[in-house]
Amino acid sequence: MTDNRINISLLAEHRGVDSNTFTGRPQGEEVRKVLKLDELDFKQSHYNFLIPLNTTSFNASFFLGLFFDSIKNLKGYENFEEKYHLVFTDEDDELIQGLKNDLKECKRQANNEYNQKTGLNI
Amino acid sequence: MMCILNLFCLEPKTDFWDNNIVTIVGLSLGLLFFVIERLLNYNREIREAKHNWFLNIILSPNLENINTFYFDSNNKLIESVQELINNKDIGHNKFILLQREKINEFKIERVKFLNNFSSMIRSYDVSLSIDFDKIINELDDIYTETLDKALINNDDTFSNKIFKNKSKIITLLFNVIKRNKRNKKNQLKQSIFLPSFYR
Repeated sequence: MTDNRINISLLAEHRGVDSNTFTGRPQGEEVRKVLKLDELDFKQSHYNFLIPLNTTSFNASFFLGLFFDSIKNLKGYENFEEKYHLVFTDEDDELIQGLKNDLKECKRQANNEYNQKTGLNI
Repeated sequence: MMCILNLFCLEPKTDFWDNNIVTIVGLSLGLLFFVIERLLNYNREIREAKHNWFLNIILSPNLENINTFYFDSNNKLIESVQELINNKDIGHNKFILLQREKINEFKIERVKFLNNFSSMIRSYDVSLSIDFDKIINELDDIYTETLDKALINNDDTFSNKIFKNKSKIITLLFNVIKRNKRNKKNQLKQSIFLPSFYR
């Protein structure tokens, strides 16, 4: 973690009752309001989002609900990635690898939705 | 020179204009309609070619694969839920890893087939592919949440949810065909508007 970054913890309760997963776009949007990301987007600071222990899935639906407006406010995924890092607090390599794969899918969808680029143009 | 000037001045019309103005105006309008129709035809041909390419090369060959994907996903989920229930006493950490392994099985299939299909759709219509991804995200959530709560819920309605999701996808893709038929109807109305000798 970079020293200058401020840590923000995603909590177990953000996952929902008795849940180990982050799912649902409305749920992501709700957490966005709670964490006041609309304000953070326009501050100079950089942030680490800490994913809680025992998280088994971080779905694209939740990611887009939580972060898509930030990607728009920051004018692209690259700027978003620079400002916000997602950090996994788990120690299990398999779990972390699964979550990293989830983030790849989140990135793909976020880029598509933001850029609305086509593969071929006819 | 004076004759040419006379054609364009505002003096009382000559016999030439009186005799030929209707023909000149008619020919000019005819030329204009011809050019407009050619342009409309060209654009329509491009759109139809693109649409037919999408229907014949992308959509039709994959409809059965979509059907199979949903059928297999549902069966796989039923097995996975049962496996989690059978292993509820293996210890917390191992159980978490088993949950992730089962969730992964869907995600890997999604990336292999559906993401590929989504990128093909995107080459035809970007907003259609984004809508497609959103519906598949709902399916991803159904799968994830079902496995997440396998020990808590006695909910066996997940199969209904999976097949409802499938019908959403089919409706989305079917609307592409409907949209094309509506466009063809509008184009036919436009061509009716043109004078008959230009059709």
